[in-house]
Amino acid sequence: MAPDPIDAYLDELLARLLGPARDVRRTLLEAEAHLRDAVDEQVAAGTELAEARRVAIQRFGSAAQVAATANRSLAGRTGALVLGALVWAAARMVAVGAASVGVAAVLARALAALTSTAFVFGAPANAVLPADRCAHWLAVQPSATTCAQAAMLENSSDTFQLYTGGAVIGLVVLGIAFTIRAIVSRARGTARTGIVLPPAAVPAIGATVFGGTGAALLSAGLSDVMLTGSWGRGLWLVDAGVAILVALSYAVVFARALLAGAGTMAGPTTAPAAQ
Amino acid sequence: MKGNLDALLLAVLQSGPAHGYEVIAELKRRSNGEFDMPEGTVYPSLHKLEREGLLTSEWDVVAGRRRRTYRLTAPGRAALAREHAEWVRFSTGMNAVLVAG
Repeated sequence: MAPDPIDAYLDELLARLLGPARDVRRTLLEAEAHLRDAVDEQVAAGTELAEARRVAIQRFGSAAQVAATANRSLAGRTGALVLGALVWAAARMVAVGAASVGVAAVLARALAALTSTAFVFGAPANAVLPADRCAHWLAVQPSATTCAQAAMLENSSDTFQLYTGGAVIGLVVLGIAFTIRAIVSRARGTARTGIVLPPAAVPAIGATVFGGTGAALLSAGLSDVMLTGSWGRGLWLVDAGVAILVALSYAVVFARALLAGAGTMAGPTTAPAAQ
Repeated sequence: MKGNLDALLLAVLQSGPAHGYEVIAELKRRSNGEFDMPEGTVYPSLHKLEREGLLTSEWDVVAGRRRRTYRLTAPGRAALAREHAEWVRFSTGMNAVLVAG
Protein backbone atom coordinates (compact mmCIF):
# COMPACT_ATOMS: atom_id res chain seq x y z
CA MET A 1 0.00 0.00 0.00
CA ALA A 2 1.27 3.48 -0.87
CA PRO A 3 2.42 5.60 2.09
CA ASP A 4 -0.17 8.09 3.34
CA PRO A 5 0.88 11.58 2.15
CA ILE A 6 -0.94 13.05 5.17
CA ASP A 7 1.59 11.36 7.49
CA ALA A 8 4.45 12.78 5.44
CA TYR A 9 2.77 16.20 5.52
CA LEU A 10 2.38 16.08 9.32
CA ASP A 11 6.05 15.03 9.70
CA GLU A 12 7.11 18.04 7.66
CA LEU A 13 4.81 20.35 9.65
CA LEU A 14 6.22 19.02 12.94
CA ALA A 15 9.77 19.64 11.75
CA ARG A 16 8.91 23.24 10.88
CA LEU A 17 6.82 24.28 13.91
CA LEU A 18 8.55 26.24 16.67
CA GLY A 19 7.46 26.93 20.23
CA PRO A 20 6.36 25.16 23.41
CA ALA A 21 5.77 21.42 22.98
CA ARG A 22 2.11 21.59 23.95
CA ASP A 23 1.36 24.28 21.33
CA VAL A 24 3.13 22.26 18.65
CA ARG A 25 1.31 19.07 19.66
CA ARG A 26 -2.03 20.84 19.60
CA THR A 27 -1.45 22.35 16.15
CA LEU A 28 -0.39 18.94 14.87
CA LEU A 29 -3.44 17.15 16.31
CA GLU A 30 -5.80 19.77 14.92
CA ALA A 31 -4.12 19.58 11.52
CA GLU A 32 -4.47 15.80 11.43
CA ALA A 33 -8.16 15.85 12.46
CA HIS A 34 -8.83 18.54 9.86
CA LEU A 35 -7.06 16.68 7.05
CA ARG A 36 -8.71 13.35 7.86
CA ASP A 37 -12.14 15.02 8.11
CA ALA A 38 -11.57 16.60 4.71
CA VAL A 39 -10.56 13.23 3.23
CA ASP A 40 -13.58 11.45 4.76
CA GLU A 41 -15.93 14.10 3.40
CA GLN A 42 -14.58 13.81 -0.14
CA VAL A 43 -14.45 10.02 -0.07
CA ALA A 44 -18.09 9.97 1.10
CA ALA A 45 -18.91 12.19 -1.89
CA GLY A 46 -17.32 9.67 -4.24
CA THR A 47 -13.75 10.96 -4.67
CA GLU A 48 -10.99 8.38 -4.93
CA LEU A 49 -8.87 8.12 -1.72
CA ALA A 50 -5.52 9.21 -3.17
CA GLU A 51 -7.13 12.20 -4.89
CA ALA A 52 -9.04 13.12 -1.71
CA ARG A 53 -5.78 13.16 0.26
CA ARG A 54 -4.03 15.28 -2.33
CA VAL A 55 -6.85 17.84 -2.40
CA ALA A 56 -7.12 17.94 1.41
CA ILE A 57 -3.41 18.76 1.72
CA GLN A 58 -3.56 21.30 -1.09
CA ARG A 59 -6.47 23.15 0.56
CA PHE A 60 -4.75 23.10 3.94
CA GLY A 61 -1.74 24.97 2.54
CA SER A 62 1.92 23.98 2.33
CA ALA A 63 3.61 22.91 5.58
CA ALA A 64 6.00 25.84 5.14
CA GLN A 65 3.11 28.31 4.85
CA VAL A 66 1.10 26.91 7.78
CA ALA A 67 4.19 26.68 10.02
CA ALA A 68 5.25 30.22 9.08
CA THR A 69 1.81 31.56 10.08
CA ALA A 70 1.85 29.65 13.36
CA ASN A 71 5.46 30.63 14.13
CA ARG A 72 4.76 34.29 13.34
CA SER A 73 1.89 34.42 15.83
CA LEU A 74 4.29 32.94 18.37
CA ALA A 75 7.08 35.41 17.65
CA GLY A 76 6.06 37.99 20.23
CA ARG A 77 6.11 35.43 23.02
CA THR A 78 9.07 33.33 21.89
CA GLY A 79 11.85 35.75 22.83
CA ALA A 80 10.67 36.08 26.43
CA LEU A 81 10.06 32.33 26.75
CA VAL A 82 13.51 31.40 25.42
CA LEU A 83 15.16 34.02 27.62
CA GLY A 84 13.25 32.72 30.65
CA ALA A 85 14.26 29.12 29.95
CA LEU A 86 17.92 30.12 29.54
CA VAL A 87 17.92 32.24 32.71
CA TRP A 88 16.49 29.37 34.76
CA ALA A 89 18.88 26.85 33.24
CA ALA A 90 21.74 29.20 34.12
CA ALA A 91 20.35 29.65 37.66
CA ARG A 92 20.28 25.88 38.16
CA MET A 93 23.86 25.64 36.96
CA VAL A 94 24.93 28.44 39.35
CA ALA A 95 23.25 26.47 42.16
CA VAL A 96 25.32 23.42 41.20
CA GLY A 97 28.42 25.64 41.17
CA ALA A 98 27.64 27.10 44.61
CA ALA A 99 27.08 23.64 46.08
CA SER A 100 30.36 22.43 44.50
CA VAL A 101 32.28 25.33 46.08
CA GLY A 102 30.84 24.44 49.49
CA VAL A 103 31.71 20.76 49.06
CA ALA A 104 35.25 21.67 47.94
CA ALA A 105 35.76 23.78 51.09
CA VAL A 106 34.79 20.87 53.34
CA LEU A 107 36.90 18.39 51.35
CA ALA A 108 39.90 20.75 51.49
CA ARG A 109 39.68 20.79 55.29
CA ALA A 110 39.41 17.00 55.32
CA LEU A 111 42.44 16.66 53.03
CA ALA A 112 44.39 19.04 55.27
CA ALA A 113 43.60 16.83 58.25
CA LEU A 114 44.76 13.74 56.33
CA THR A 115 47.92 15.27 54.84
CA SER A 116 49.04 18.64 56.14
CA THR A 117 47.76 22.18 56.22
CA ALA A 118 50.96 23.19 54.41
CA PHE A 119 50.23 20.86 51.46
CA VAL A 120 46.66 22.07 51.08
CA PHE A 121 46.87 25.75 51.99
CA GLY A 122 50.58 26.62 51.97
CA ALA A 123 52.05 29.06 49.44
CA PRO A 124 54.63 27.67 46.98
CA ALA A 125 58.08 27.26 48.61
CA ASN A 126 59.72 29.79 46.31
CA ALA A 127 56.91 32.36 46.62
CA VAL A 128 57.83 35.92 47.49
CA LEU A 129 55.32 37.12 50.08
CA PRO A 130 54.85 40.91 50.15
CA ALA A 131 55.98 42.52 53.41
CA ASP A 132 52.78 44.48 54.02
CA ARG A 133 50.65 41.33 53.61
CA CYS A 134 53.01 39.45 55.95
CA ALA A 135 52.49 42.08 58.65
CA HIS A 136 48.72 41.70 58.30
CA TRP A 137 48.78 37.87 58.33
CA LEU A 138 51.08 37.73 61.33
CA ALA A 139 48.79 40.16 63.17
CA VAL A 140 45.59 38.14 62.52
CA GLN A 141 47.25 34.72 63.03
CA PRO A 142 49.16 35.19 66.32
CA SER A 143 50.00 31.46 66.60
CA ALA A 144 52.20 31.71 63.47
CA THR A 145 55.93 32.32 63.85
CA THR A 146 56.84 32.88 60.17
CA CYS A 147 55.16 34.76 57.38
CA ALA A 148 54.70 31.58 55.32
CA GLN A 149 52.97 29.90 58.27
CA ALA A 150 50.71 32.92 58.84
CA ALA A 151 49.83 33.01 55.13
CA MET A 152 48.96 29.31 55.19
CA LEU A 153 46.71 29.61 58.28
CA GLU A 154 45.04 32.73 56.92
CA ASN A 155 44.42 30.96 53.57
CA SER A 156 42.89 28.00 55.41
CA SER A 157 40.46 30.08 57.45
CA ASP A 158 39.66 32.55 54.64
CA THR A 159 39.01 29.77 52.16
CA PHE A 160 36.72 27.94 54.53
CA GLN A 161 34.74 31.04 55.47
CA LEU A 162 34.51 32.49 51.96
CA TYR A 163 33.78 29.19 50.21
CA THR A 164 31.14 27.90 52.60
CA GLY A 165 29.70 31.38 53.17
CA GLY A 166 29.47 32.02 49.43
CA ALA A 167 27.94 28.61 48.82
CA VAL A 168 25.31 29.06 51.54
CA ILE A 169 24.37 32.59 50.46
CA GLY A 170 24.22 31.50 46.80
CA LEU A 171 22.00 28.52 47.54
CA VAL A 172 19.69 30.54 49.80
CA VAL A 173 19.23 33.28 47.18
CA LEU A 174 18.57 30.74 44.44
CA GLY A 175 16.24 28.76 46.72
CA ILE A 176 14.17 31.90 47.32
CA ALA A 177 14.11 32.63 43.57
CA PHE A 178 12.99 29.08 42.73
CA THR A 179 10.29 29.18 45.41
CA ILE A 180 8.91 32.48 44.11
CA ARG A 181 8.91 31.08 40.59
CA ALA A 182 7.07 27.92 41.67
CA ILE A 183 4.43 29.96 43.52
CA VAL A 184 3.93 32.33 40.58
CA SER A 185 3.63 29.56 38.00
CA ARG A 186 1.22 27.62 40.21
CA ALA A 187 -0.92 30.74 40.70
CA ARG A 188 -0.98 31.27 36.92
CA GLY A 189 -1.47 27.58 36.23
CA THR A 190 1.32 27.78 33.66
CA ALA A 191 3.79 25.37 35.23
CA ARG A 192 5.78 23.39 32.68
CA THR A 193 4.14 25.01 29.68
CA GLY A 194 7.07 27.23 28.71
CA ILE A 195 9.79 26.61 26.16
CA VAL A 196 11.61 23.35 26.74
CA LEU A 197 15.30 23.54 25.89
CA PRO A 198 16.75 20.54 24.04
CA PRO A 199 17.48 18.06 26.87
CA ALA A 200 21.10 17.60 25.83
CA ALA A 201 21.88 21.33 25.63
CA VAL A 202 22.24 22.23 29.29
CA PRO A 203 24.27 19.12 30.27
CA ALA A 204 26.59 19.80 27.31
CA ILE A 205 27.18 23.34 28.55
CA GLY A 206 27.63 22.09 32.13
CA ALA A 207 30.16 19.44 31.13
CA THR A 208 32.11 22.02 29.11
CA VAL A 209 32.08 24.76 31.76
CA PHE A 210 32.91 22.51 34.72
CA GLY A 211 35.33 20.40 32.65
CA GLY A 212 37.21 23.49 31.48
CA THR A 213 37.30 24.90 34.99
CA GLY A 214 38.49 21.54 36.34
CA ALA A 215 41.29 21.35 33.76
CA ALA A 216 42.44 24.89 34.61
CA LEU A 217 42.37 24.13 38.36
CA LEU A 218 44.22 20.87 37.80
CA SER A 219 47.02 22.58 35.90
CA ALA A 220 47.16 25.25 38.63
CA GLY A 221 47.53 22.49 41.23
CA LEU A 222 50.15 20.53 39.28
CA SER A 223 52.29 23.64 38.80
CA ASP A 224 51.51 24.97 42.31
CA VAL A 225 50.46 28.37 41.00
CA MET A 226 50.18 31.36 43.30
CA LEU A 227 47.73 34.03 42.25
CA THR A 228 46.88 37.18 44.19
CA GLY A 229 44.82 35.88 47.10
CA SER A 230 44.65 32.27 45.81
CA TRP A 231 47.21 29.53 46.33
CA GLY A 232 47.70 26.10 47.85
CA ARG A 233 48.55 23.00 45.83
CA GLY A 234 46.12 20.76 47.72
CA LEU A 235 43.34 23.35 47.52
CA TRP A 236 43.74 23.64 43.72
CA LEU A 237 43.66 19.85 43.41
CA VAL A 238 40.54 19.47 45.59
CA ASP A 239 38.77 22.20 43.60
CA ALA A 240 39.84 20.50 40.37
CA GLY A 241 38.58 17.13 41.60
CA VAL A 242 35.15 18.50 42.52
CA ALA A 243 34.83 20.42 39.23
CA ILE A 244 35.82 17.33 37.21
CA LEU A 245 33.32 15.15 39.11
CA VAL A 246 30.54 17.66 38.40
CA ALA A 247 31.63 17.76 34.73
CA LEU A 248 31.50 13.95 34.57
CA SER A 249 28.00 13.97 36.08
CA TYR A 250 26.88 16.45 33.42
CA ALA A 251 28.54 14.26 30.78
CA VAL A 252 26.54 11.23 31.97
CA VAL A 253 23.27 13.22 31.82
CA PHE A 254 24.31 14.46 28.37
CA ALA A 255 24.95 10.91 27.12
CA ARG A 256 21.60 9.74 28.51
CA ALA A 257 19.77 12.63 26.84
CA LEU A 258 21.39 11.73 23.50
CA LEU A 259 20.44 8.07 23.88
CA ALA A 260 16.85 8.95 24.87
CA GLY A 261 16.67 11.33 21.89
CA ALA A 262 17.88 8.57 19.56
CA GLY A 263 15.24 6.25 21.02
CA THR A 264 12.35 8.63 20.33
CA MET A 265 13.61 9.33 16.83
CA ALA A 266 13.71 5.62 16.05
CA GLY A 267 10.25 5.03 17.57
CA PRO A 268 7.74 6.31 15.01
CA THR A 269 9.67 5.17 11.93
CA THR A 270 10.20 1.60 13.08
CA ALA A 271 6.73 1.13 14.62
CA PRO A 272 4.34 -0.68 12.31
CA ALA A 273 1.61 1.56 10.93
CA ALA A 274 -1.75 1.22 12.69
CA GLN A 275 -4.68 0.10 10.57
CA MET B 1 -7.62 41.58 6.32
CA LYS B 2 -6.05 39.95 9.39
CA GLY B 3 -8.44 41.84 11.68
CA ASN B 4 -11.32 40.96 9.38
CA LEU B 5 -10.55 37.24 9.59
CA ASP B 6 -10.71 37.47 13.38
CA ALA B 7 -14.15 39.09 13.19
CA LEU B 8 -15.37 36.46 10.71
CA LEU B 9 -14.22 33.62 12.97
CA LEU B 10 -16.00 35.18 15.95
CA ALA B 11 -19.14 35.62 13.81
CA VAL B 12 -19.16 31.97 12.75
CA LEU B 13 -18.80 30.85 16.37
CA GLN B 14 -21.70 33.05 17.44
CA SER B 15 -24.04 30.36 16.08
CA GLY B 16 -22.60 27.86 18.56
CA PRO B 17 -19.45 25.90 19.48
CA ALA B 18 -17.64 24.24 16.61
CA HIS B 19 -14.32 22.60 15.89
CA GLY B 20 -11.80 24.07 13.47
CA TYR B 21 -12.90 22.11 10.42
CA GLU B 22 -16.53 23.17 10.90
CA VAL B 23 -15.57 26.82 11.45
CA ILE B 24 -13.59 26.91 8.20
CA ALA B 25 -16.24 25.02 6.20
CA GLU B 26 -18.94 27.35 7.51
CA LEU B 27 -16.81 30.41 6.72
CA LYS B 28 -16.41 29.23 3.13
CA ARG B 29 -20.08 28.34 2.84
CA ARG B 30 -21.37 31.68 4.15
CA SER B 31 -18.98 33.66 1.96
CA ASN B 32 -19.77 31.57 -1.16
CA GLY B 33 -16.09 30.66 -1.38
CA GLU B 34 -15.00 34.32 -1.26
CA PHE B 35 -12.67 33.65 1.69
CA ASP B 36 -10.48 30.97 0.20
CA MET B 37 -7.35 31.18 2.37
CA PRO B 38 -5.19 28.08 3.00
CA GLU B 39 -7.25 26.28 5.64
CA GLY B 40 -4.27 25.50 7.86
CA THR B 41 -3.49 29.18 8.36
CA VAL B 42 -6.84 29.71 10.14
CA TYR B 43 -5.75 27.69 13.20
CA PRO B 44 -3.09 30.18 14.37
CA SER B 45 -5.83 32.86 14.29
CA LEU B 46 -8.10 30.68 16.44
CA HIS B 47 -5.23 30.13 18.88
CA LYS B 48 -4.52 33.86 19.03
CA LEU B 49 -8.21 34.65 19.72
CA GLU B 50 -8.12 32.09 22.51
CA ARG B 51 -4.98 33.65 24.03
CA GLU B 52 -6.80 37.01 23.94
CA GLY B 53 -9.67 35.46 25.89
CA LEU B 54 -12.24 35.88 23.10
CA LEU B 55 -12.58 32.12 22.66
CA THR B 56 -12.18 29.07 24.84
CA SER B 57 -11.54 25.57 23.59
CA GLU B 58 -11.42 22.00 24.81
CA TRP B 59 -10.69 18.57 23.42
CA ASP B 60 -13.67 16.48 22.31
CA VAL B 61 -13.81 13.10 20.70
CA VAL B 62 -16.25 13.24 17.77
CA ALA B 63 -16.70 10.17 15.55
CA GLY B 64 -13.60 8.56 17.06
CA ARG B 65 -11.39 11.55 16.24
CA ARG B 66 -9.92 13.97 18.77
CA ARG B 67 -10.93 17.54 17.95
CA ARG B 68 -10.55 20.91 19.56
CA THR B 69 -13.96 22.56 19.95
CA TYR B 70 -14.04 26.37 20.10
CA ARG B 71 -16.61 28.42 21.96
CA LEU B 72 -17.23 32.19 22.05
CA THR B 73 -16.69 33.83 25.47
CA ALA B 74 -18.52 36.90 26.85
CA PRO B 75 -15.55 39.17 25.92
CA GLY B 76 -15.59 37.49 22.51
CA ARG B 77 -19.26 38.38 22.08
CA ALA B 78 -18.54 41.98 23.08
CA ALA B 79 -15.61 42.18 20.65
CA LEU B 80 -17.82 40.82 17.87
CA ALA B 81 -20.52 43.42 18.60
CA ARG B 82 -17.87 46.18 18.40
CA GLU B 83 -16.48 44.83 15.11
CA HIS B 84 -19.98 44.58 13.73
CA ALA B 85 -20.92 48.17 14.66
CA GLU B 86 -17.61 49.37 13.20
CA TRP B 87 -18.25 47.49 9.97
CA VAL B 88 -21.79 48.83 9.61
CA ARG B 89 -20.50 52.37 10.04
CA PHE B 90 -17.70 51.81 7.51
CA SER B 91 -19.84 50.07 4.89
CA THR B 92 -22.62 52.66 5.23
CA GLY B 93 -20.07 55.37 4.56
CA MET B 94 -18.57 53.52 1.58
CA ASN B 95 -22.02 52.83 0.17
CA ALA B 96 -23.12 56.43 0.51
CA VAL B 97 -20.10 57.62 -1.45
CA LEU B 98 -19.83 54.86 -4.07
CA VAL B 99 -23.53 54.44 -4.83
CA ALA B 100 -24.58 58.08 -4.53
CA GLY B 101 -21.50 59.17 -6.54
